[in-house]
Amino acid sequence: MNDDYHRTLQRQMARSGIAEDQLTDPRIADLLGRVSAAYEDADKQRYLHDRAFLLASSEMQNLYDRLQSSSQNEAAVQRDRLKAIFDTAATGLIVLEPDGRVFDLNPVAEAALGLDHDAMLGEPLSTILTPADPDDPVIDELRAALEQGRHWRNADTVLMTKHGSTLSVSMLFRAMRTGGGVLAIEDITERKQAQAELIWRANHDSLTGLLNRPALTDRINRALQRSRRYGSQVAVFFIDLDRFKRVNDTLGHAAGDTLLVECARRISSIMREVDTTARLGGDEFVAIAENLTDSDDAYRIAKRIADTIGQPFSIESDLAYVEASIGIAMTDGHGVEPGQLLRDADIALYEAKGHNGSSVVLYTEAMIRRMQHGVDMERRLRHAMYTDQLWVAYQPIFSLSDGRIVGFEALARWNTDNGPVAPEEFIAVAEGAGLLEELGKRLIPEALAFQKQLPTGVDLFINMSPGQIAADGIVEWFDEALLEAGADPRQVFIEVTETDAISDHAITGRMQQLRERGMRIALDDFGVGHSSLSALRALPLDLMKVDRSFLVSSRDDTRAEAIARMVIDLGRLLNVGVIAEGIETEEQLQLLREIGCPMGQGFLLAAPEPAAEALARLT
Amino acid sequence: MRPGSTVALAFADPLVDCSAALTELSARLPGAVVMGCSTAGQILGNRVDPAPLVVSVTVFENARVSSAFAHVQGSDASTAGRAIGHEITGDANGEPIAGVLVFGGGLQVNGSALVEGLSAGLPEGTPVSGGLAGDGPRFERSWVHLNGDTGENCAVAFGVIGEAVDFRHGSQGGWDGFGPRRTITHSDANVLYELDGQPALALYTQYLGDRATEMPSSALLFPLTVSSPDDDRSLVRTILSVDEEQQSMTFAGDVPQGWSARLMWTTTDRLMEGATEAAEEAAQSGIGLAIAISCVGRRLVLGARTDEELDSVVDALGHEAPIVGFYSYGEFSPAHGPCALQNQTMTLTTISERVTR
Repeated sequence: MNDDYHRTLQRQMARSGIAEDQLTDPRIADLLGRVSAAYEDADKQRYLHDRAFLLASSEMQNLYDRLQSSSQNEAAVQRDRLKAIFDTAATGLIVLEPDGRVFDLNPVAEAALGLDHDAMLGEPLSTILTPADPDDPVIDELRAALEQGRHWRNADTVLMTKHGSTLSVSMLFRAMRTGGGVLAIEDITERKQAQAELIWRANHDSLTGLLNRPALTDRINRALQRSRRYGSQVAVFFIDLDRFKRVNDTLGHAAGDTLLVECARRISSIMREVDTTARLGGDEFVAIAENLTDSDDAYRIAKRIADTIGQPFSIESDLAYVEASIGIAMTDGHGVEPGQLLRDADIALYEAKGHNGSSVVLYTEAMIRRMQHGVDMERRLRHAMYTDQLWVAYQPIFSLSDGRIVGFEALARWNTDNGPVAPEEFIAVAEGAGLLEELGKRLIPEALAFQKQLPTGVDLFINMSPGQIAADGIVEWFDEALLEAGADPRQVFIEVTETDAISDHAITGRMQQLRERGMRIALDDFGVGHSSLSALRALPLDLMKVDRSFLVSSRDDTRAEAIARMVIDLGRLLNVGVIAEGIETEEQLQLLREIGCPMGQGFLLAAPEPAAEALARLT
Repeated sequence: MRPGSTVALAFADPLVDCSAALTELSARLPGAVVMGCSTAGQILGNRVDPAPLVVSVTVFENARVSSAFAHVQGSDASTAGRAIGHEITGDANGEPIAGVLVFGGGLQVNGSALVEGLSAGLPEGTPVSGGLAGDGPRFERSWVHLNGDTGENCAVAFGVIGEAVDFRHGSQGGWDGFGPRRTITHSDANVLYELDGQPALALYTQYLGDRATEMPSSALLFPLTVSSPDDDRSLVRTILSVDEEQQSMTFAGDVPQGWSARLMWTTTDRLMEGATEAAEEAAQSGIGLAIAISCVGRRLVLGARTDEELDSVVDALGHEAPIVGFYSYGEFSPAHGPCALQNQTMTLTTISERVTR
């Protein structure tokens, strides 16, 4: 057998019983050669094909494995990420199946709704979400959104938690293309509470809890609307505490705050449920009373407020006393703006304050006119101070025993193009506007120059308010003014009006300083102040000027006469001079002489007059 | 013999010195175009002829033949192709060129560039076919010849001028892609370095297994189909040489970077089917000459059954048709669109002349 033949061919020839030596025909030999070669080629081809098939298969498998593992990896990473986001989201998240059953919920949702995670899986929507209001349609809305595969939002609803508490939430449902969706639940309870607190704070006074000014306008407005509808009246009470500053100054601000809180409580206790009480700041309160029949009703309420505030306040171990001044403004059946009503009550309060406190005043139209007049006066007075319309007049003071002139009281005068303005009028305006100090500094040098021309034994009397005396640097100012004018301080009396403030240490100290410079102090308007006798004891006084109300106008008035005698005796006992002011009748003069009043002044004796005329009396 | 009416095609065994024979041929056929090349197998009729030189002589009744020779300067085969085109076009002097047959040096000449330049130098639509010279399974030295001139890095061509001549073409492979599609990540013109970032040579070594030692010829068993990422253009590329040091492989046509590449395989039967289809495409009546240019890669697969491929061609064209040709290192055919370099195909060009007496 030819070993060159392909093995398959050799076997086939052997099976067919063909031996090579039998093949004499060269064409058969050629054929067998070709067949053997074809077998060889086929083997080679198969070798490569088998190899290529296996290699390509393995390459494809590797590619497939790589692809699969990378996509599995990616899916796992993706899953992990989503899970981390889901678990750490600050918002409650509930994943819903297309039929509304719970697929999953995150820890925030569990905690907020008080749910148990495992028990809730597969539960229907209505089991996990219970609106506090049984008529709240949120569940139906959400279910509809779920069925229709659309997004849904509810900004504010209240749910019941499984613990039975309520939860304000904002909900957002995002439908998924594959059905179902994610419900995000945000707990907005705190936000809503904070909002409510913000609104409360915006409308209330933080110290007392009463309404504040912005809220008050709204309340007045609503009260006015009701008043128009029911034809009843509304009263606005503007309440200001008298002497509150003293509480703050003596007991401290904490005590002051305690008093304000108690005041708020007391005022509120007087008002009815439907009424309103507000604090405008400082020691100002406003109360609104509705359904009043007339002003008597309003007065009664105001009196009760004043009474309750007038009761002592027990603050820690101290007792504090304040009083209330109250201005009342009422609807009068005509249309009125809330702002106007409050302003009117404020004007009435201003009037009440002018009555030395603890009074109740009902607003009238005349008040606004007075106030407007005052404002106008102030404007003109400021103008006058720089245009020499102001000047000093001098009223002689006489010795009543011999008619000799012993002094002159310097008095401010204001001449306008329309004639003179009454001093009591413009002095009050200057005091209210804080112009008194400036006024004094303009006019006192003129008076001191006048003094320089007076002979010995004739003194000059200058009026000053406690505020003027308390002003910083007033003593030094006097030093300079006296020097400038060449005046003799020993012939100058400073007249101080008797008021509450006069006993302040600051003022008595200043008086003492002025006296040390040789000037003397006279107490003006003696007898009308609050603490006349104690003031006499405490003040460094040289003279008293007795108020005209003590002048006896009739011989039949034995009571008045007794008091007048006593005052004159008091002066003698205290070793201070006494001048009777405002002597206008011969009868008064006669009586004063009889009871031994040493000095006096008044229109009966001589009116205030220009310096030249006054000096002429002495020659 | 009318001058310019005759063309002699000569296909030679590269291991045998045929220069004397070719000189003798030109002397015997004065005025004839004598054109030829070295091969990876000379085809005559239905067999690969063991004779070292196979010659056909064709005489045209009315048409005339124009030929041209060009050296390729460096790697610029396009310019050489265009020069040949211009020369034949000039010869035609306005007469129709029925078709052009071109041979290029099989190892240095970039066939893609050659036919591109040639087509550009010819009147538009002139059919161009042909192939690259071979060197058996060795890939060492190949040559082309025209009228006494022989060269390696050269191209030769003849064109048939005349209205009554018909060129028909057929070209088919019978190869199928397999395995993953890879990306050409590193290449330079027709030199391939990397596929999917891996040395291309390593891939071939792995796939060839025991037969890797037979490279480059064994690599022809796995040609590449390269596809453009931008359109559906797809070309078959066969290997010409390998460089172990560079780990690179040189192909008979461009392997553009960024294109995809896929290994191909075939079986003996699939190649036979391909040959039959190509012959059917090129078949016409009155064939004066049929030129069969088949790829050396096919011969490597077909092995002992190579002749059967030629049997398929003869069966399809008819036993009267004179068939001559060679196993090449690359085929040119306009059978499917503009003329382009093909690899691993059986490419047929049939020429007929309508004779009027």
